[in-house]
Amino acid sequence: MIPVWGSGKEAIADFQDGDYLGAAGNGLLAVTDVVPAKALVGALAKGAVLKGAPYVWRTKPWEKGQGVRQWLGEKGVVKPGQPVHHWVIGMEQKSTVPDFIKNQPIFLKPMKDAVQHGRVHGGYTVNGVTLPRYGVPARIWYGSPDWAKAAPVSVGGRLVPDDNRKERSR
Amino acid sequence: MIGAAVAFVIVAGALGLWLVRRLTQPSAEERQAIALRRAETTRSLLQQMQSLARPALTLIPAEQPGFSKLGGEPDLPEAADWPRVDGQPLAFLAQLDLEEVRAADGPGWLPSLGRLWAFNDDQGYGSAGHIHILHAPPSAAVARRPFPPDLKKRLRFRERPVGFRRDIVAPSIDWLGIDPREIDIEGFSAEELAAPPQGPHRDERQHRVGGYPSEIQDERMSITAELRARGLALDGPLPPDVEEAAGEWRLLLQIDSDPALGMNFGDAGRLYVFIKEKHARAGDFSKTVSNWQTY
Repeated sequence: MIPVWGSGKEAIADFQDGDYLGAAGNGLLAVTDVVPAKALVGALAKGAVLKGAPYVWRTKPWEKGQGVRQWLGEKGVVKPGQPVHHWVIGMEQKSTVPDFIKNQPIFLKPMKDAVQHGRVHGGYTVNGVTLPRYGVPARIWYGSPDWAKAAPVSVGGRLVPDDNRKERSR
Repeated sequence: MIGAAVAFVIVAGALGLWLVRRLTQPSAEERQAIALRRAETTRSLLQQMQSLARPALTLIPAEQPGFSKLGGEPDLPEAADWPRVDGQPLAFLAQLDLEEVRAADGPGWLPSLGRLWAFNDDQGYGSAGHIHILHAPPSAAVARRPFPPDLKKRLRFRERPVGFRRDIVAPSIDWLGIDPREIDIEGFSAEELAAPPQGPHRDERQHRVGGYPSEIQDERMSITAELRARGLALDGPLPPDVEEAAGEWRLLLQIDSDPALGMNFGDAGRLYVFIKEKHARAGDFSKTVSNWQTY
């Protein structure tokens, strides 16, 4: 997590200096420290390549949600029958963000089962019993990928001044 | 000293992981066998997609409005009540004139006469009957029914009279129950992959009668329909006759989220209604099973 801290700190410093481009670049580096950088870059590159593919079953991966879910299944990231949830950027927001961005793996969260996925969106009936929609904390917890939960904790925790370390260095 | 110990543990761990991966890697012969198996599965899949393709009607804006439509206020038989669950009125989705469906060369297993209405209980996802189908003979007099005053505004969809466009739709790998890990399209040309009927996809709204569902998630919806019809849990053991019985289910109706109509099911989700062919042929629309998938 040290690289996260390094890039994160640089991003904050750039932001405070008014260097927003540098802040964005270092912020991206901080994210790639949390998400395995190779996986992220590889996924984006693959997305760019497959976007130009002539035809992949029903649709092109990345262009449609079901295409990328199928691709994740092929790669063994999700098991057969396991639902995939689009977090942060909903698929109903068609006009604001292109689908090939919304369908990148960093914006997807494999869910435990249809019940858990259903309860993120609303009530869900199981064996005749209607389970209510999750509350906001549970929706965020179940509906976001682990890296997104870890990143703010990692970065935020390192932004807190470490007084003990200063004491030790004296 | 501590640093050296940590470095040793890291190096030893990395070496151990490399060794495990190396030892568990399939041999060259095994890799070749896997590749051959996957190519065969893919070839078989392409053939199944072609041979099992079915006609479907895509609901498109009508050039000459008839009875069939999406949203708006329904034209219900005078004797019919607006469907409710726990006292709450359901959302009206669509009404279809089966004569119009037949005239558009729709599925042969649907009766050529009669009318259907579909209502959705958006609190009932996960249950077999969250979409209520009403059926009436063509002789039943119908009249425009206003929205019940207690129907929530977000469930009052805008109206679109619809016509039908005939498409040929192939079953998906989800419907066929093929594990995507067993597919390898690398060795196939674009022409070979594009050979099965592609049906409507891309950005078109997927409102449909007949054919196969356009799944959002990985689910064998024919199996789900059979299990739900029997009242069995989806995560339980699969009774031996379910697979065969699941083959009798047909897609009666698929309704897509449609911002122009104010329809959004979950996050741009879709609603599906299935019926067994024998029940549809007999005009028995009381035995439908519904499903919902979302992103």
